Amino acid sequence: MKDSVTATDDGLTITLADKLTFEDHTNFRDLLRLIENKEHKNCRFDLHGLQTIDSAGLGMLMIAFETAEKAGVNFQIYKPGGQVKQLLDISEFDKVMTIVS
Amino acid sequence: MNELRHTTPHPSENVLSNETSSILDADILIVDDSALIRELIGAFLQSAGYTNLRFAKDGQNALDLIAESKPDLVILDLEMPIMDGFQVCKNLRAQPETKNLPILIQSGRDTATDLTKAFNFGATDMVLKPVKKYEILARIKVHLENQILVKKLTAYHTRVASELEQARRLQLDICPTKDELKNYLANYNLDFGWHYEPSSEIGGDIGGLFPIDKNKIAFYIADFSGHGVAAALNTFRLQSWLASAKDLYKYPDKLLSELNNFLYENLASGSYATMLFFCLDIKKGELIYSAAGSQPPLIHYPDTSDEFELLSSKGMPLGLRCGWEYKAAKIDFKQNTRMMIYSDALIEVKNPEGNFIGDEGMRTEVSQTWGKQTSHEKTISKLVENFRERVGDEEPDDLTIICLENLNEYSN
Repeated sequence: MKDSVTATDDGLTITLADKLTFEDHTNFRDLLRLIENKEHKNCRFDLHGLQTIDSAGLGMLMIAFETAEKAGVNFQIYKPGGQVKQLLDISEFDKVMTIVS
Repeated sequence: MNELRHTTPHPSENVLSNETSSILDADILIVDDSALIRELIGAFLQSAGYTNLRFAKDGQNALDLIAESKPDLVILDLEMPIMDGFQVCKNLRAQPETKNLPILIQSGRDTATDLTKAFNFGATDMVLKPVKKYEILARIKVHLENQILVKKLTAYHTRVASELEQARRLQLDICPTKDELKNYLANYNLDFGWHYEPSSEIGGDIGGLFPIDKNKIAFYIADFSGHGVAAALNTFRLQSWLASAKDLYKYPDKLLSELNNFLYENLASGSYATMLFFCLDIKKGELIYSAAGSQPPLIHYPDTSDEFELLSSKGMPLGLRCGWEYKAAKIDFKQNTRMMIYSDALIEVKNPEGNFIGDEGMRTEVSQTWGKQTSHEKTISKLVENFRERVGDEEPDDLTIICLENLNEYSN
């Protein structure tokens, strides 16, 4: 996983690229802390550069959403593509969280 | 939700524990044609606390003693009558049971040629004569500790492999046998084909069949996130839960809703299962199913083109959201309707052009493979063959393929 974080007045943008898999769970936990500290009211996961995601990665996105939900932070997944979009779609994540195409 | 708990291995399982005390019981064979050298080395070892020493006066005598009982380490001279140390090394390395036996050469031959030859013939290490007490004791200690560690690791590996194999058999027991499938054909006129192979030893795929009454039968396919032991244990957890939920077999949506809450409470955060649960009413020729993010089933209705269709399998994976309400869909499943359900491994492989097979690719492949005159055995064999070719040398994910054809006749 390659990640970068930008914070503006609009909120936190976490950009993930390459792939999101089980091996990334430790790094992903650090990203969750950024959501938990409630400094931002909005959190966007920009997935436009994410090529693949495995079952553990999908679980991590749900954990991120629940973390935001508990912290009262607006959560958004932004421009997933390819296999990532397909997996989010089949798993009906759009019924739980905002997914911007 | 429960967090993953980490436990410390039992002391007896700690393969890296200090083994210094136990090496003093090691069986050590000292081989030298000189009685004086044998006694000298023996005295060095006894003074350090080694108690289990044997002696041989030449190479042949050494091989005879090793054949009687394999020692833990051999201290070997090179120049001896009848059979020299080089030949002993060669013989020992040629035998499977002694190919890893530590051989510590002690010799006065110290030319580069001698050293190279000794190691080429299989020596583990070498000390030069005159033998110095603390040098030979230090070398012996290192090799015995290594030997004990390797033995424990090998025993540990063998035990784990054997337990995984038992777990694998338990998983395979959940799948219906060929005889059971024949019974479903005889009793329900339903022709099932079933293929299951877990990745490495065990995996997170599971599927099963539950007869409800003479007209109804339920079946399912599920896949837990992750691989290996944790995912496999969850498959048993699922099977136990399903066995206690017989009243829900006729209502796939209710079953998934309740199962989702059970898994939400019991799985580690972020873990989940995808699943398809079906209830087939053969009297009505109707199939009711509910989905939780599994691979889309492939269906072929009779008297249509050769093309299979993809059914929707959209749904929140089980265990991710508490209180999720699952929906049921009802489809016609009359005479000669055929369906295939499968795990994601089948489509998450690449074709020779480097593209993933995907849902659509599998739909095309099944349409071309499972013709009206083709048995599901042949279809499954061909799909598995294609899968193996695509996987190549990579470790494949768990693979499940279930085929079903309804052979019951219906009046208009």
